[in-house]
Order: sequence, then C-alpha cells, then structure tokens
Amino acid sequence: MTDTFDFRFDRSAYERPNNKFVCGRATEWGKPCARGPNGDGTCGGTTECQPYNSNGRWECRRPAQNGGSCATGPSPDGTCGCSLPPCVPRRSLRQFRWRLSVIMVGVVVALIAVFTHLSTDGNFFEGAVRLAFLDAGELTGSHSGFTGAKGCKACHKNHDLNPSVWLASVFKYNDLSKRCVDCHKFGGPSNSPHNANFSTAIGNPANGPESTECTMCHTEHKGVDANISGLNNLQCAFCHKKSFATFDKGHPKFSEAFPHFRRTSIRFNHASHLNKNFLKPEVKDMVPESCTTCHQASSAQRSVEPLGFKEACAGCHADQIAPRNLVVLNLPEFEEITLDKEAVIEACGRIAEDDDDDEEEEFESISEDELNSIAAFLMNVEADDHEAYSEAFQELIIAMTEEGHVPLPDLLSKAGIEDGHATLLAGLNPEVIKRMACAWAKNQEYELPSEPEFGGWYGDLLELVYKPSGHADPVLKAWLEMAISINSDDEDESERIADMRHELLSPGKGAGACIKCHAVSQDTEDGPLKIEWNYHRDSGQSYQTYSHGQHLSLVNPQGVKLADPNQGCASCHKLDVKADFASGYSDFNAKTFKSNFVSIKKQACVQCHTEGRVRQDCQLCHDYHKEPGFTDQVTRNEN
Amino acid sequence: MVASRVRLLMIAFAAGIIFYLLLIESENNRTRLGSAAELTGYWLFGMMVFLTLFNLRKKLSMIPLGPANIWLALHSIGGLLALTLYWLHTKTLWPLGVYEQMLAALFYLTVASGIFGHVVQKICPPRLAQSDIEVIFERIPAHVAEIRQKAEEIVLSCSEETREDTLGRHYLDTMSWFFRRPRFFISHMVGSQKGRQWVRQQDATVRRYLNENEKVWLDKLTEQAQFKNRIDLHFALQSIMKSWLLIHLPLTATLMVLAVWHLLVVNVYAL
Repeated sequence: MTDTFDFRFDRSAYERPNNKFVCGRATEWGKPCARGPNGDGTCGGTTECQPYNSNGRWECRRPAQNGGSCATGPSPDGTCGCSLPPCVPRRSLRQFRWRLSVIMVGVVVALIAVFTHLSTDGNFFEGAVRLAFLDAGELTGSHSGFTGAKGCKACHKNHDLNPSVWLASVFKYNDLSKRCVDCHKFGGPSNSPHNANFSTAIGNPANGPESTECTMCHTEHKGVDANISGLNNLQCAFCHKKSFATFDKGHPKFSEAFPHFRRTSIRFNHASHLNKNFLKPEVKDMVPESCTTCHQASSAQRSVEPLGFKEACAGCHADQIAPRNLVVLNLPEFEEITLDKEAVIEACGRIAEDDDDDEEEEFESISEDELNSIAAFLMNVEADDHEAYSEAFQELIIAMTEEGHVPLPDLLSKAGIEDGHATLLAGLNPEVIKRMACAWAKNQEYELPSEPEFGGWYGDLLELVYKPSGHADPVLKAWLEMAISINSDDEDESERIADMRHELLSPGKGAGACIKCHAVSQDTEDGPLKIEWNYHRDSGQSYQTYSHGQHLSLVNPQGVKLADPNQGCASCHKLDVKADFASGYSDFNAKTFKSNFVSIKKQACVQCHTEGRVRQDCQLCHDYHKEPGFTDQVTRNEN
Repeated sequence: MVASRVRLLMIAFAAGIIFYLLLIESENNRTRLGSAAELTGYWLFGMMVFLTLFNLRKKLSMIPLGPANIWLALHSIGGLLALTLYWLHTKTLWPLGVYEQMLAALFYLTVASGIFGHVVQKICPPRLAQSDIEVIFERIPAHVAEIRQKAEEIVLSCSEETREDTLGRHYLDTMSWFFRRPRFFISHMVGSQKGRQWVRQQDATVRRYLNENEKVWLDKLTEQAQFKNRIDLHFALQSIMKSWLLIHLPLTATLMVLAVWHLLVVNVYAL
C-alpha cells in the first residue's frame, strides 16, 4: 500500500470535492501539489508551503505527508524556498455539473422568452414556430379552421397580453366556456346540464353539477383526428337517478308511445290506406309499391320524412283541391233594396228594366241565403240578421259598382286584418267585381261567360269565389292563416270568428280541402293555432338520436334485410289496424292521438344492441346537448 | 440488510397505495366531469419537487433531516411513482405539443438517467469492494503519480544494480504507457479482466529475456502494475458513479423549469 492510502488527516491530503477547481497537475495525472488551486481558479501551488513567522524567524510549514520541513527552508523575506512551476487548475466535476445545469436552464428560459412574449412586438417568428412554447398540441380538424386571424385568442383571452398581466392571470379564473358559445349555440342555457332547465329532478342532485362548463367534457389540443365529444356510460350514470350497467341490462323500458309522441302533420291513416283505399280497383295503378315509395329512408336519421304532395299524394288527391272554392262574399237575401238607383245607373249604365220605375212590384230577393260566415265576419254583422247586414251589404254593393275591388281591402281592415291584403286578394280583377256588383245591385245573378277552368277569383251567380289553382295555393293559405290568427275580445265578434274558422277549417267542406290532410294544432292550451303545412320534426325528443339510413344495410334476427321495401320496415314498424287514428285529429291537441303503428319496445333494439354484439353505450342513442348549432359568427367566419 | 429491504418494501407499498388512491380519485373525478388532469398534475408536480429536494438533502447534510438511505429509497420509489403519475396525468406516452414533447422527453430522460444511476449504484460498490482496496476518487491522480514514480524507481534500481537495460527498455517501450494514466476504462466498466491480462502478458513477454536478478525487479514492477490496475478499476467505476449525475441533475433542473412553465401556461390558458 502506498502512503496516500492512509486516511488519517495528518498522513494524507484532505480532499475537498466541493471546491470549484482541482489541481492542474492532477488532471494530467501528475502528482498534485499539497496546497491546491486558489478559490478563483488560479494555481495555489507555486510554492510547497507558506512559511510561518515565529518570533521573527520564518519556519517551513510543509506538511508531514509531503516530507515535512524542507532542507532549503524559507527565504529571509518569508517566501518558500521550494518553488514549483505553476499549473492550470481545471473545474471540478461538481462545478462542471452546476455550470451545465445553469446553461441548460438558461437555454430553456431563453427559448421560452424568444418563442413567446418577446416575439409579440418584434415579430421574430410567426405562426406555429412562434407558439412552439405555448402549443399544447394540434386542434381538431373542425376547430382548426375557425380560429382564423384571432389564433389562440379566439379561445384564450389571456393570450398575447403583456407579460405582467399575462403572469397575473395565473391567479384568475379562466372561463373558456364563454368563448365556446361565441360559435356554438344550443336550445337552452349553455352552462346547464343538457342545456335545459328541468322542471323535475330527473338527475341526481347530490351528484350532478348545478352548472356545467364545456371543458368538463371537451378538451382540445389532442390532435387533428381526436374525438373530443365522448362521454362514457359511467359519466351519464353519475348524474342520472336511474343508473344501470348497460342498455340491455337495466335501461328503462321505452314509453308506451315510443316513438310516436305526437301526431303527424299530415292526417294520413296508414291502416285505412293500406287495407282499404289502396285495394280499390280505380287506384290500382297509383298505389305505392312499398314504404320507401313515399318515405325517404335511405338517408334518414331519426325522422323519416315522406316525399312531398306531388310525389306521394297527388296521384289520388290532386283533383280534390280545385272544386273546393273559397266563397268570400255571397249575396244574402234582402227584404227590400234601398240602393240609390241613380247611382247604380251611373255606375252600371241603363238597361231596359230601369225604365219600369213607375211600376210598383213587390220586391222579391234573388237570393234566399243568409250571409255566409266569412262575409259576416268581414262586415261584422250577424249572418241571419237581415236588418243589420242589408244596409251594410248594399252599401258595399254600391261601392263595388263604383270602385270595383277597392272597398274590399277596406273591408279587411275594418275586420281587423291589417296585413297581407295583397296576398289575400291577389289576382282580384276590378272589372269582374264591378260587373258582379252591378248584377247584384239590380237583384240579378251574375252569370259567367263560361265555366271557370283555372284557379283565381270569379264572380259566380250570387258569390264572389276564389278557385284554388292547386296544392299549396298561396291565396288560400293566406285566408286559412288569417282564419286561425284573427282574434277579438268582443264576444259577438269572437263568435263570428269561430263560425268563419269552423267553415274554413272544416276537413270535409273547407276551402281547398287543405284541412282534410293538414292538421291544425295548438302546442299549449293557450298557445296560438297553427296549420301544419310542413313535416313536423319532433324537437321534444331532442336528446334522442337514431339513424334509419345506417340500419338499412343490416339484417334483422329473422334474416330479413331491413332495406327490403316490403318487409324490412315492418321489422320495427308494425301496423296497428285497431288504433283509432282519426280521433287524434278531432281537436287541436297534437299529443292526444293514437298512432297507426304499434309502439316500439326496447326488446326490438336489444336483439342486436347487447353485450358481445353491437355497441350499446348511452351516446349511441342519446345526445348530450339540446339542439346544438352554430352562431352567425361561424358562418361569417369572424374569428 | 433485511431492515433495509423491509423499509424499501414499506415505501414501495406506500407509493402503491398513493398511486391506487390517485387512480381511483382521478377516475371518480373524470366521472364527475371534474378535471382529473388538474388533480394528477398537481400531485405529479409535488412529487417532482419532493424528488428534487433529495439533492438539497445531500447539500444540507449537517441538518438532521433523516438518514440518507431512507431519502434514497424515497427518491428511487418516488421517481417510479412520478413516472406512473405522469402517464396518469397525460393519458399518453407521447404528447402532441412542441413544448409538451420537450417536457416529455426531459421527463423520460431524467427518469431513464435516474434508473441508470440507481442500477450503477447497486452494481459498482460490490465490485469495488472485491478489489480489496479503498480509494478516494479525488486521490486517484495522486495514486497514479505515486505508483508511476515507484515503478520508475524500480526500473532505475534494476539498471543500476544489474547493469542491464532490458527491463528499462521494456518499461520505456511498453509499461510507461500503462503507468502514465488510468487505462482499460471500458474493460473495467464492463467487468472484463483485460487490464490484468495485459500486465501478465507483458510480464511473460519480457521475463524470458531477463536474468535471475532482473526477474526480481520485474516481479516488483509487475506488482505495482497489478496494483495500478486495481486503481484503474476504481477510477472507471467511480467515474461512472459520479458521471451519471452529470446528466441527471442538469436534466432535472431543466425539467423543473419547463414544469413550472407548463404550470403557468395551464393556469393562464385553461384553468
């Protein structure tokens, strides 16, 4: 063993690994000096010791492990007599490690500074490079296109603030959801569960959050193709009172009405059509081949919309519209005519009969009818009150002989119909009105030169009629819309409105036969009436989703392909021939009705959507959001 | 030894419990539509701070902060816990954002260097103990110089006493290379006996040309060479034991800076 292996302090050097420098001789595998480098990195070993002055005499202080006092001894001036050539001390491993750490940290801090805030004004870097130290990952494809010129600020309001404010915002709450609703909109409050204000506690109040934030479920920066809209079954079950493991085990039964919670817009009785009407020989060539002849199922989601009137109904029902005229005015029975004959002659011209003034004959009215309900409503008189309507109607006749159609808009206005005159009276020919009024003024029937063939206004004997031009006639629609929208606080007027409404909206006799098929509904007890001109999409079940189109490529457990036009639809939609379908349209309430089809049971879905077969998670059939959509900001791309 | 293993197992068990509870709470949080990443993120950051404190503990050895071996066990198992927390936090092996990828790379490198260091600290000390000598790393240059000096003295003495220069020429041609500085670093590191074999080979090569008097001096020279070979072993193994920290600590420091930056960015942009 060499001496230096002795670990006693007085026999070996005392090592200081914490020192910043090590002897340069040692780094070159020479014998290190005993004194070692100075703290500032200079060589401390140019002499072997630092002599000590003892009572005016310099004594050698070379350590024992280096040979003790030297023979030369110190110089008279106190310098060591054993000088050594100086070395170049080097940094110790620990010091090198420290410097490396500081350099790496410094580089990272510098990179952060350069790639973020320092570049805000200097504009050293642009786009993705500039944001490298803020970028948490790519946005999904659907979002990346809408950040636009605003960039990060489209969602993060603190982005690009000056450094001190930016740093201060660490301690402030950052509500990202506020920015989400700049583009996204819903059918209810964005921050309440399911965007709804539930009147009853369907959730579990102890668990569910009172208010929600978009980021609870949707977190971005997970890549272009990331799915950021997924909820799992446990998350649904956490809030909902009725919790269950899977759809096939525990999901509540479907309601008795499912999926027919509301009557259809069109009063189409599938049972009577399929079992009775379509069997008639005269319609043999017009009978639809299958369900898909009328229903567009291939691309349908939850609702399978029927084709329009022209494609689905016109074959049998087009001819039923035109004969159902709208009679706006009819000449009622008068007990006497009090018209100013001179005025009539002036307006209509003299005819031979006018010369028989002196002959006093007993007046016999050409009409024996009462005033019709529409005219009674327009003139605000009782339909059977001769005295009341005689004067008013005769004044109207005189006005029409003089001015043609001009009194009619005034009549509408007096009845409280302020708007839509142009549509209500579209195509009305003043000459026809004048000639008809002249005939009526002379207590005569107005005779048409020929039978009316096309749609439009006609004076026909004792009536001013509108003949529908076909399906969706705008004039007829305007009169029907007027009939359901007009109201009055006066009891008598209300009664006359009700009579008019009853006549126009009569399925059997109403003008144009519109109401024979189109339902008139009232969503709430006090709500307005509406004629369901278009297909009704049931927004009441807005959390449910179903794709008819995707199911059409499948085969049911009995081996029937669901796309089969004859049997496929019947796999789920079974006709209920005993259902009292017609009674569902006897009033304005759209929800008290009986569907033509048997309700669909949960078991129909469980046949396939069960463990080990087809997925059955909540979100397969239920949407979280209510009526999700986009604000105008998205379409205008204002970000 | 047994107590140490029991202690290690207890710490590992405690870490397992912490991870399990966090996993459960994280899943519950996610089910409640809460921010599971926030919970695991702050735990991960806290764990990283705790792991960093181990270096402080070494610097403040004068303060009674508990035995170093317990700190080492906490540091080692805490490091593995941090790795699992990282995966629990990010839910991915490799994130997407540029700086998050840097953060991930630093995290993985730090953990990998830590694991390497832990393995080195387990393997090297027993091998050093087998060398039968104890050497302070900082003194190795002095030992090498001293051995070289002794070797040269042996060669000079041999020449003076035997009046032969064979050993002297052999030293100048071959052995001086060996004595100049530590040799066979990689061989010693991987546990090879290449150094010892080299010394024996040189001894056998020159021995046939020496007379009996010279062989006595050759034996002394070979003894010094073999001793130096053991010093070389210490140099190689202790260098590794010290050098891995040269990677681990700078990585840790950089990682902590980026972790703090991540904390700031998340709080400014998302929370």
